[in-house]
Amino acid sequence: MDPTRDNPILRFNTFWWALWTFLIFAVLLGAILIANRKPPTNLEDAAAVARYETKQRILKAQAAALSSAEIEAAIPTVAATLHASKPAAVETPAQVVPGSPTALQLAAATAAAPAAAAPNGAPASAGESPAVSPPVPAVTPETGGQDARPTPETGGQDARPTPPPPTGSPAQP
Amino acid sequence: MSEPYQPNDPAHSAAATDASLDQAAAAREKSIPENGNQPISLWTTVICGAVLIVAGLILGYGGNRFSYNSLFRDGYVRTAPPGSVATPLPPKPALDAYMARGKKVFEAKCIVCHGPDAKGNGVTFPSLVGSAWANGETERFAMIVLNGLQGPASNGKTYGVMTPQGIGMTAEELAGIMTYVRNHFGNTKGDVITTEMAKAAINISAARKNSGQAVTAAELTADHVNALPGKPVAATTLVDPLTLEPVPSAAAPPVTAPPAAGAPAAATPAAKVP
Amino acid sequence: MSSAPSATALSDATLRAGIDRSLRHPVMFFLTSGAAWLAVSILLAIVASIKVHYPGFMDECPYASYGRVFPAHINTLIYGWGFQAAFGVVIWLMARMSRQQCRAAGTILTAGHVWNFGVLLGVLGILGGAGTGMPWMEFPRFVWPALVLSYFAIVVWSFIQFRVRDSDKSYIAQWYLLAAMIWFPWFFITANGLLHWSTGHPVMAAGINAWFRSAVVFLFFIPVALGAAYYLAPKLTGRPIPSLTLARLGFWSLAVVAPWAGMQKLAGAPLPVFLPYLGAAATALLAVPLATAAINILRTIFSTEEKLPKSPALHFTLAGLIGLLLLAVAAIALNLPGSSLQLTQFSIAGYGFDILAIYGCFSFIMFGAVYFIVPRITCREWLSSRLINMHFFFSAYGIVAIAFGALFGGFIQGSAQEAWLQPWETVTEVVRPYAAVSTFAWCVILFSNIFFFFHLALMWLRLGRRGATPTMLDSAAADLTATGPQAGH
Repeated sequence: MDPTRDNPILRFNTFWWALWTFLIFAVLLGAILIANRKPPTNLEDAAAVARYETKQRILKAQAAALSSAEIEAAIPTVAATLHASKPAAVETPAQVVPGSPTALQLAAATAAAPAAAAPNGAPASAGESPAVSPPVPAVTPETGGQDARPTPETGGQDARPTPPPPTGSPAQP
Repeated sequence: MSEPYQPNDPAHSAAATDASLDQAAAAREKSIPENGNQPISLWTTVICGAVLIVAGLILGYGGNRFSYNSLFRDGYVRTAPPGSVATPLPPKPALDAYMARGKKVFEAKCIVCHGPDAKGNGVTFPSLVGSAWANGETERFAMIVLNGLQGPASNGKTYGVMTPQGIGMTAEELAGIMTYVRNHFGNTKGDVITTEMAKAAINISAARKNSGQAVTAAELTADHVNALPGKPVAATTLVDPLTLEPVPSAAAPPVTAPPAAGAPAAATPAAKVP
Repeated sequence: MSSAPSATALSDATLRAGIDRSLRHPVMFFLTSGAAWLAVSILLAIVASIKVHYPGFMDECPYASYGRVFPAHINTLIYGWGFQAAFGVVIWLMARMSRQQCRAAGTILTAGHVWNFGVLLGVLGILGGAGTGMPWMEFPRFVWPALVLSYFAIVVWSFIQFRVRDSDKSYIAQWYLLAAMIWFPWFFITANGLLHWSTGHPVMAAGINAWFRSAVVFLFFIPVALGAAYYLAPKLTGRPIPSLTLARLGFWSLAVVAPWAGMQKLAGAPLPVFLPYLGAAATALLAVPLATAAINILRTIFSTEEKLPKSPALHFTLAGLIGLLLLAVAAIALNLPGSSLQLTQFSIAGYGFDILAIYGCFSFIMFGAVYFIVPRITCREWLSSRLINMHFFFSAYGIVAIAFGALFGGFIQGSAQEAWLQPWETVTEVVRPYAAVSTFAWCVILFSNIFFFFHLALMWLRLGRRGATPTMLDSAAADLTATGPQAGH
């Protein structure tokens, strides 16, 4: 065995060379990152800086406002209130779940007068009074319970698939 | 723990020591032999070649992978699912359809210099509002759009050099932009430049003596004070908004009435990017 | 060994035994704790898999929600089992091939404990809700520097051993192991540094994460598996690797191609278009190094007509090589942009591919290495061939079920997703049977790993069989002499 091949100096050197090999990628990456740090040059970078600051501010405010201890303390109170409240009968047709017995009764009662169809999916939360009745949708939902599929006629004037406005928008070309 | 296992191998004496048992596993190991020099088999080469071809095809499938000019890839269409019928878009008056097309071109190309109200800045970019050349003969206007302008403009003042916009511009885009400028921003020419006329304009522009260079006032006045050849289309003719072709007017629903009566067809938009 | 051993053979044996003795504690620690983490990971996999087809399972427990339990599963599989098995096998292989004893066993053992502690903290962080949400990087931010530092402390000694080795040539296995040891800090520090320390475009962060996931598999696990296989096959069979040129070709093609792969997981994202296409092409092209290495090693094993010894290490290595071939085929099949890439992109096929790579290929070859290494470092033989058989067959059944189920189910799921006139529920209904198969398969694999862990723990406690003959898979009827094909195991 060649005595010069294995000696403490060689081992020491190899140790540090190995560590250097491991780290060289990270060092290069760090060098490139640092060298490329420049003040925002385009709109996106400038907006990004502002956005990050806003995000930090919002996160801090949210953390301050949303302490889990308060939430934990509030849960029993809300639960008790909900438990104590009695479900009340539904008042307006807008709150009636389509397909339920009440809805069928209503439909039979108003069969003569073509009423504006209530939008399906209106939440019928017991005990809450409705604020305003929802606007009449410009597009009637198809029978069968499927929501009206928004078509491009309601959208842009040309073929580009712009996102169509949600049902209920009165603006039509 | 099981009792020590005594192999009945005659090579091991009954007094096998712990040490030799400890080394037994190491002792019975084979050495790693020298690596062989067999040639790579043909099948291996063929398989690797096939994989290379597949990988190349995958790369090629991307098309122009470094093009950032278009937002959509060529040929990207949302196809209607099998079995459904693609509902065509409702027809529109020709003026509206062409102006819609032109609006997009304006906002992509012209707004940068001429401004959002097409009034320019008075120094380097002329105003298109009430411009004699923009509202005048269609061929002259088309030459300016396609080739750019150098020298004095319609009001005699010299602005900057206008860059040609004709490279890559389709006939529909040219027809659209001309119709848009002539009927918007305060201009009320009321006519429609059709795709046919725009195609003719492109041909005329390519056949120019100085094709490739910007036009000048002198050349415009000398050669191009004409109307573009093509069948005129009334502003209220109904056309398909996609192809800009007139549709047979049979039973097209009026597009301005609120569509509260019928349920719209729940079909896919077969949207083709212009 | 039937005749009196020659002097060189004896000195070889002494040298090997010395190396094995020096490495006993670190390697056994890594292998045993790795096996324990593997069992934990499979348990978590079962919970996660049940939640796919039966979401109500354990839904009152916040620690078992899918978003926590699935990352915990995959992270323990990779960092708990995968890396520790790799460490154990790598340091032993590098020591043996360099013929150097390990002088830093204490350091390695300490670093191993640090690694384990980091993984434990990380998993607890994930289950407690502090996961980062980046796939395969969910450990909380403070964990990865600890992992990197302990990695250095574990692996740098192998470089020293390689440097001071006696011979001028290097084994093929050493190329792969050295390369894997160098590549790991490169991509690990890059990805973690960029994603956790610097701010940048968030979509590109997703791209870097996708690249990292591919790099973990193809720049660390697969090279380690190939290195171990390139050692085990000629060692166990005594036959040479047929073609050195093919081995070189395979190694360098892996080195050149694998770093480009990964971003095809984000095809269609608002990334520059060339990135996903490069990733898809590179992943398909990876079939070349994988297949050539598998072919080379398989030709070693089957190069003569002699019956192969029924060695557990060889069986597991063979199974791992078949997994490697399947992985090569899947790498092409899943990455065709017009068809399969968009079908399987958001499906369980990606998971199946990862598990095929980590378990079907890497883990099987690691099991083979474990069955070879442990008798040598504990100086005991495996207790029961039946336990080994149970481990082998149940693992094989399980991984085949998962791999084929997930890959095929991914295509079915993708087709259901493409049929967009149907409500989304049909997709989940279509996937449900494949998820159920996956759950069942993980249960089978857990069953097999119970045997493995039990067996390994007994060996660790030095309760193995003392003897000169190895435990072969047909030991019940084995020829008890140490001659013939059993010699070498």
